[in-house]
Amino acid sequence: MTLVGTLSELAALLLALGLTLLVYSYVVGDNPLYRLAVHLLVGVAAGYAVVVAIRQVIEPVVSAVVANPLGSGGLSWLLPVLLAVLFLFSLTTRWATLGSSAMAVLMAVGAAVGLAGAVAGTLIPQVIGGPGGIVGLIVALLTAVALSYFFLTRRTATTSALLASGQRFLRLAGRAIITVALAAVFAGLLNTGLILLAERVGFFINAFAAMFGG
Amino acid sequence: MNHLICPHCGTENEAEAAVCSHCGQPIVAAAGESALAAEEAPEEELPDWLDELTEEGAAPVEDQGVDALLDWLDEPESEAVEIEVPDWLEPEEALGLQAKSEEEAAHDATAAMEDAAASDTQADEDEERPSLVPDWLEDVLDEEEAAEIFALQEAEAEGDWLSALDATEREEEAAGMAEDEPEWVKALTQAPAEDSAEDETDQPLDETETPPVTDPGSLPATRPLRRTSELENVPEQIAGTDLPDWLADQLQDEPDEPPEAAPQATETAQPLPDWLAEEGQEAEQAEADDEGELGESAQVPAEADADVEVEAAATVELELAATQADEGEALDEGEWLQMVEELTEAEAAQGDEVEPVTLNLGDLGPPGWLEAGPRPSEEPLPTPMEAPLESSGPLAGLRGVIPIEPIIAERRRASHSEPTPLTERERELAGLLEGLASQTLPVTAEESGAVDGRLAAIFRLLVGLGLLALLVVGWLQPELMPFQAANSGTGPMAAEALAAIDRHAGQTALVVFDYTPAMAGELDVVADLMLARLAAADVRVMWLSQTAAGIRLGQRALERNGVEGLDSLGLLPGEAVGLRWVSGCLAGTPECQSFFGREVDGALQQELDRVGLVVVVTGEQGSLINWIEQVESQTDVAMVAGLTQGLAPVAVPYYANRQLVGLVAGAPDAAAAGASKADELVNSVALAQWAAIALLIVGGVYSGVVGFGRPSSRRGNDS
Repeated sequence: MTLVGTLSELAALLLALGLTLLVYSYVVGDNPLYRLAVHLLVGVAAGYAVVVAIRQVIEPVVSAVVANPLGSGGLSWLLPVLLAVLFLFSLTTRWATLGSSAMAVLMAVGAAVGLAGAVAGTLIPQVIGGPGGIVGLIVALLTAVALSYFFLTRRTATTSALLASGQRFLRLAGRAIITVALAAVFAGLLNTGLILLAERVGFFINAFAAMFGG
Repeated sequence: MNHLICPHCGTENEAEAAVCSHCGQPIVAAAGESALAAEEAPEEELPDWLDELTEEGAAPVEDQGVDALLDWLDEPESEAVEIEVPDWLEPEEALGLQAKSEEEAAHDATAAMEDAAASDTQADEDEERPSLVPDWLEDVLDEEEAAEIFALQEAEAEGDWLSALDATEREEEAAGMAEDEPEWVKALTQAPAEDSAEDETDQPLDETETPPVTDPGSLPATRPLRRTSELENVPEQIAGTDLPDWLADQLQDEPDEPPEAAPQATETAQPLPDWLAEEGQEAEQAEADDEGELGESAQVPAEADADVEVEAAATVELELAATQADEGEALDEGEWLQMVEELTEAEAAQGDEVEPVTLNLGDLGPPGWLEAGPRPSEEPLPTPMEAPLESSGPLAGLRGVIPIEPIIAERRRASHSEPTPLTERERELAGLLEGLASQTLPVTAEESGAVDGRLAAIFRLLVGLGLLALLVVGWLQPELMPFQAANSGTGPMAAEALAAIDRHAGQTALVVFDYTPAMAGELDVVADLMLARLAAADVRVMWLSQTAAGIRLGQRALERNGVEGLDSLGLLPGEAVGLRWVSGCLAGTPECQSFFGREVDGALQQELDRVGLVVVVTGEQGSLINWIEQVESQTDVAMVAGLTQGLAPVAVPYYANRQLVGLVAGAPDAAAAGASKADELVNSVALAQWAAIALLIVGGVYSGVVGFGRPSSRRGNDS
């Protein structure tokens, strides 16, 4: 490896170490160094995404439309391109309504697709194809109790004391179930964080060791 | 205007009237002198108190000047008491009156009425009680009825018996007294009388003439004089100033002084009215035992110097008389007598033990400030005639109007008052209070919060540095805490995933790299495990990513594991909508003419049709759920997920429902499944994990013990 290559790797390594420490400075609290590292990450990721989108999405579409405007490929992109152009009007004040209409179409289609997928892909399969027997009953019961925590109706004058006490108990039970579930997720996230940090530490240790012959 | 008073009923009649318009009795002959007295009354009649001065104090007035006005107040107490007690109150007279029978009393009353009708000048004779019952009533009325009529005509009778005074003698003495008075005092005494005289006679009176005595109720309402400017011939030194209280009271009392009150303060006994005589008889009868004491009790301890002191009893009587005059009505006869008796009894009881209230005449004279005149430093107040005449506004035509508007509208400069001088002790107290006030709870809470924040930051920094140290140690010394799972075998979910890959050997698999470099530290290990297994099973790979960075990470992962990718579908935008499009292409729908800019030709369509396994490597929950809901549920392809440990709980239900055939949950699962680099990574983390567990336990205990003891508001602020 040439000296320039070594110095380049060293500079890249030091830069990576510096950025890692900047992000890690968040352990003390929100500070400008952390914000600098985050802004660099977001900016680089956005720029990279734009480049990738242009090269892998826009250029092929434009090439297909230009090559065969009246073909099936070209006409099929007419409506998406029209909506994309209308979406650009959101940047203006006078014609923002046109951009809003394109956004409304996008949101409506996304919501419809998401809702249909949730029903067909999660709700129905979980109800029908879930574990049966005692396990299935327990899962259903815990799910119902967890959902009861979000029972937001207020107590009225006609609400009996027994019903109110039952609702209060269900709310507490649902809160406990949700807490346990979130604790499990938190534990997984904590482990993930430790793994990621350990990977970074190992990366720098191995990199510096390889560079300096350790 | 001249009037004739009927000697029978006392009614005023016209001068030319021959008979009384009220009772019908002839009045011409009988009313000879009475009518003449009525004509001269406005000129000759004096207030009773002045009348007393003319009779008793004429000589001293000449010697004492202005002070002679109060001579009747200057008599020695013994003399004053002797004088004040009228004759009808003398024991002999009272006894005489009491001894008389009712018939004799009625006879005397009738005789008195006849005498009064014959000559009013004889009304001052002591034993004679003037009777106002006309003659024609004497024949038809008994004594009681006559007494009732007398009570009803009491007010009219008062004027009659008072008018019996010697007008000529009073005129002379009053003139002599008036000559000794200063001009401004004359004005004080003459002004009200002149006004009333003008109203009565419409004739100007000479300055020396004594104002007539008229009924107070018939006098026009006058305002008491309060300022010397309202008088004429007032010395310049006191022009425009307020009258002293003693003089204002004197002026206020004089015009309204009732005729019946004056004799009580005089030295000469006046003829007692009938109503008073009857009351006196009753009183004497009720207190017959005390009749001898009455004369003695009237003897008030006297002072030797009678010229300069006023006896207290006389003062009280004067106040009584003034009160009667102010109220404009005579006191009830019984009350009057009772008050006199109570006064004499009280004085007798006190005897010499109590010094009588005395008042020096020198104190009653004009005050020093009045004699000195206005101070030189003060601007003399303009008299009303010198003041400018107001020409406009609601006060137009008035003089001496003070312009207020310019004073209000004038611009003024705010002046700062000098600080109040404080003593050293007050300064110390103020400093102490200020210090206490500054030590409020919010400030303390903020300061405490700042301290807590700094301590927490330091604590977090120490924890972070300690964690780094543990990770370095764990990385450099993996044998200190070896990962036991590596030797325990692959987990069931990971084994299912690897088995699913093996089952799709020779087929096409769609590998999705939906993760960013942030998650690459863990997911790269998982991806390496799956790609190695795919490569081992000779599964052809088509790959794509929903993130731009994922494309690059996928390429590196394929290169790292020696997997030859058939084709790259590239970036997949649109999230759920884009995935729904992918599901259509995988299902072989005819609508799949293009795949996000890439024309789906026959070869590509054929490869898409061969896809029997979808391997999703992601660290995002939304990405995983979208792939399951939009692709797995819409197609018949099997799906295997390589996830982070944090996302594993979300994927487990789908694995339990067999929507996910297999699941590799993070680096530990990958290490258990035999991933090459996963062991080192997990071993380096093990030491830090135990440290994190210990820290969580300690922190939980601290929060549970300390947190519950703190106020809820404080806990809310901390949260």
